[in-house]
Amino acid sequence: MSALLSNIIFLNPWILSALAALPVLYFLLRVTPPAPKIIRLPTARFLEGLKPETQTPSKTPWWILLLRLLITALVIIALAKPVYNPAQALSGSGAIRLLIDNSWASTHIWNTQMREAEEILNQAGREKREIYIQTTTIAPGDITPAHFGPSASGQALSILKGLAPYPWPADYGALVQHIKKSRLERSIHTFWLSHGLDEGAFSALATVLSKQGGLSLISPENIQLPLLLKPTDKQSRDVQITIDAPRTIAPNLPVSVQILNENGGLLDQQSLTLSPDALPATLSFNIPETLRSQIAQFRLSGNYGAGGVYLLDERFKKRSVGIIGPADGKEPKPFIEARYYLNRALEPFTTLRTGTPDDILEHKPSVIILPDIAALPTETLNALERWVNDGGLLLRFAGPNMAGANGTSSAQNALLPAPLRHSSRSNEGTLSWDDAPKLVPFNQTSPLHGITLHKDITVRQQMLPDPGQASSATIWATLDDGTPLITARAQSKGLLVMIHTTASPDWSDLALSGTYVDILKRLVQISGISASKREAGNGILHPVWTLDGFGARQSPQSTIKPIPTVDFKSTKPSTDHPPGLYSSAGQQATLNLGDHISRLNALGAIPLSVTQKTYDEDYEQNLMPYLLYAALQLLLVDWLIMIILSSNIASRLPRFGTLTLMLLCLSTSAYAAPSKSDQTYASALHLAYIKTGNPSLDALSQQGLENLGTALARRTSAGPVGVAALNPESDTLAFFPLIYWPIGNAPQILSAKALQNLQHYLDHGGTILISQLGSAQALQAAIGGLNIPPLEPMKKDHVLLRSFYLLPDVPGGTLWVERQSANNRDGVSSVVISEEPWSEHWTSPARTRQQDMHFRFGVNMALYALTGNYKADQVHVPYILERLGR
Amino acid sequence: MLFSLRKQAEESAADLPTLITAAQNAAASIIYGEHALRKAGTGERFWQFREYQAGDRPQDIDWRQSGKTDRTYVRERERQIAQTNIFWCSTAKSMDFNSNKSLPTKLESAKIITLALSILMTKAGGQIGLLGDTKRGRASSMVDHIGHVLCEQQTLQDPSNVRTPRHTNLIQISDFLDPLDMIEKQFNTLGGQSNSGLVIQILDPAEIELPFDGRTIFEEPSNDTRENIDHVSSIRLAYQQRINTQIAGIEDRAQRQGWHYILHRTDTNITDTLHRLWTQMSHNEALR
Repeated sequence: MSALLSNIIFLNPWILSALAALPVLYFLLRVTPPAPKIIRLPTARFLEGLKPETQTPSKTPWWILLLRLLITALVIIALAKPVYNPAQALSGSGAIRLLIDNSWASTHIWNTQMREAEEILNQAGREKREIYIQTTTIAPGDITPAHFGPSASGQALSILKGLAPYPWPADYGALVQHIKKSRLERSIHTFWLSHGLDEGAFSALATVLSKQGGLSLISPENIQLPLLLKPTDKQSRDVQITIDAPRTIAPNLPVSVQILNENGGLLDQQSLTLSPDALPATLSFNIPETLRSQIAQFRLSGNYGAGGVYLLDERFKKRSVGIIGPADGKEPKPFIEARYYLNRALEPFTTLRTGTPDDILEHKPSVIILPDIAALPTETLNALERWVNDGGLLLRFAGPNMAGANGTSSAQNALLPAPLRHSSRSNEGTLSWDDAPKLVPFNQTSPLHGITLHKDITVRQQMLPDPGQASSATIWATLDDGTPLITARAQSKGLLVMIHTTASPDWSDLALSGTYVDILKRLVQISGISASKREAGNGILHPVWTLDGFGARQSPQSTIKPIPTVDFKSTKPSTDHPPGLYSSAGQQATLNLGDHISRLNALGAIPLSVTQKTYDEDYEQNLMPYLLYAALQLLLVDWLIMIILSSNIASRLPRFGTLTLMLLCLSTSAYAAPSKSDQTYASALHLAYIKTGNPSLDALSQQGLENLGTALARRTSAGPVGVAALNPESDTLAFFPLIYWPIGNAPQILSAKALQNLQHYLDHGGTILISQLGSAQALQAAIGGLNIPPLEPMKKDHVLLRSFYLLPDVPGGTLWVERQSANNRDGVSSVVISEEPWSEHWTSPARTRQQDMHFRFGVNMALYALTGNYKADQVHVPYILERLGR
Repeated sequence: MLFSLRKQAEESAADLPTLITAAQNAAASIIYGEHALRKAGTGERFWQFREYQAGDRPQDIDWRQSGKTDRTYVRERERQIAQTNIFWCSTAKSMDFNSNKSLPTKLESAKIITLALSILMTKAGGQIGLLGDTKRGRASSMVDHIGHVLCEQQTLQDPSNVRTPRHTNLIQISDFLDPLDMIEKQFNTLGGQSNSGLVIQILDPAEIELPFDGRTIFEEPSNDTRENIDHVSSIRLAYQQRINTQIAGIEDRAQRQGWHYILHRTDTNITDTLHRLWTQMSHNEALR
């Protein structure tokens, strides 16, 4: 406690002398009783000598006095500006300079840096010293790092508030030159708020600064050093990312990396413990193939800013595959064309494009597939060859066309791994002795190694490489008779792959097996590796969005310069080119810090004259706000006590209690959840009727609909689970596809709200079966308020007569339906009016033909409401015609 | 000074017609005496029919008698004893009090009751007068006279040493808040002089119930006594006990003199009080 107290100093200690006035205040406070009311009363004489039982003190009780004195004392102490843990006096004398590291590496300790800077500025303000502020990183649109000063502490604090870390590196070398150039008459002591990373010429900078009047280096502890996400050098089929850190980092530092998709959704997260002797560390992620194409960025958990973000561009995402085919973009014929099988296999994990070679080449896909295409124009072949030389993967399939091609055109063989014999070999013909050969497991040297083979793949027909001609092709897959099935040859940066059978099941079962998909997938993956090394074409890349210093997306600022495509690889993140996504006409590229910072160097040798310390958490704490806050709280307590004492509130507490309770009840009822019944009605099909208020009629409706529900469940696949009685005024009608509404002679006149509800129900696809039990006037009275479209007597070809059963006619009288159903209603009449008492009919079991017909109508009605005009189409017309005997 | 007093008196006299109207209204609802029961031989003692004159109350008209001829007759009863009713209405400072603006002051109520009784008594044929005033009469002008005196607040302050003729009916109207022994002395003095009496105590509801709260200073208007009460609600019961003792004491001392006692609260209807009074007095007459 004494240590705690010794850490507090007062900035305005003379105000504490006001504490001496507290005893005076004590007497002042004591003699101010509350002013009484004066009332004229002729019977005052009778009050003489009456002693009140509960004494309201005319003097304020001692504990209230104590409370008030405490409040006053708190205010006095607060005004004396107590400071806990006061900053030490700054070393040196005269002006000071704050050198603040604000490159990407200071993001994660930015708050610490700011607090430290604030403390130094406050102390400098107390010592009345001039302040210069120097940053290390160039702000957007500037050419040198910003510097400010000389200024007073208040001004310097506001400058400090305007600083932010930038997502690009600093250049200490340039800074040394810049500082050397600034001529100072006097010596200046520098406080360097470092992020703990040597960005170029640390030692030189430290020497220059300490020569100019001394340097205090404040650096982070070894658990606060910056981290950087980098691409992995090794090529692997897993998704990998590398984490780098300075070698001085604390051992066993846990880090975790998240994989996010385009919208920032989390795809995966992996954790790792960093240790200084195993840097850089690589993390592998096991991401399903289908999700892999969604990966947009890696991100270090924790506030690591732009260094903790690694963005992926399209090279890492879905690879584009072009299939050379007809230009008209027609859908391939299902199960017949090769293109159909290729589409089915590739669609889930690639961006597919079909078209003429020129069209495809324009979009620079990773893979181009030539399914059984033998001849191409020479220019096209040349273009394709150029594309392959640039790193494309050309996948060819054999087929009748290739087998039938005449002559040995060199142009054809140019884009084949090996020259082919110009005829196919049939393995299953009447002339062959053996069964069709099967695929054997892939050789270890084959890039396809590891793909599980389907047992039953037989190849009935294939094209064979010409053994007479020398070739440098490697065989990736063979059949059990030793003939090659897949051959490949590297050409320049690209790859030529030939599958010696068709892409369709014409010649083999390959296209029908999962192995086909796996092989294509693996080939596309291989292509990606080479494609990522591909040089981008010509053009200018413009920023789409960039990262700010804290690693958050922002729209690009006007100071950002576009990057020529050819220079993109060599462009380092800088003030002109912040990390982010750049694009140009369909091509997207990402600029990452991790791609361009090769090593993270810890701080180098520090000159002996430099005072060194680490950021500590013992910051100066101004206690004034806390004390004032406490005083305010006590004042509120005092006020509450006064209220209770003066108004004898205790006797009214019960009433307050009930009031509060009532308010609580009100507020809870205001948040009433959807009623239980709504949930039941929404979760399963219910038949419904409208309560008429006539008990016998309602009982009939209930019973009838229950019977109809049973009939529906037994005869059809619609299985209503219950019957709901509805009050159109208060219930939600939306859950019920069909509502039965018997209208008797003395119908209930519905309220405006009920009518509104019913109208809403009808307007949004509901169907009401009205059973007119009384006169037309009664019906008019009941539904006159509803906006019902014109009705007509139902025609014989109405869907209602064949929605389930084929009914020759509706039992009973005329049925009125909508003349023309509204467009969005699927041809279903919103209102069906009948003069039959349907519920009454349905209460009796279906024993007679007549009774069964009633149920059949009910079933038709329910299915009509449920399925709409499904049966109105012409598919069943012949059958229906036959049944109707026409 | 004299002028201002005079002026004040005139101003208050200007209230007289209103006051008398109020009293007449209060008295009008009362049909005094046992009127004709249309049965021969019983009931009150009939004196004579007399022709209706202006100033007679309409309800005194005997319609059966009047119906026989073209003239209108008033039924007059036999005067029993020529009784003199002497009023004493206190106009002390304490009477000028109402706890609430919507209530009449005690004094206003007292004046109205006094005048209403005067009217009723003159109609009943009694002689009326004020205590300490020699003027007596049974005409309606006497009512006006009493009204004047009351309005100018020239009534007797201390009635304890005034002599009254014998066989008078003494009607005392006051709040009777003085100490009981003083009042007993007054009653004894007056009781020796008259043979019947009526004590009407007028109190404000606040004086009975003390409906105040919190810290209050109570000021007595007559002698500026101040009572400082910190917590009024806590002494309310004790106070009510005291004031009830006072009321009971007054009633007890009145009855000891053989007088009727009635308590009028200014928040109740004056007519009701008059009804109660009149039935008590008639009952008394009937007994006699």
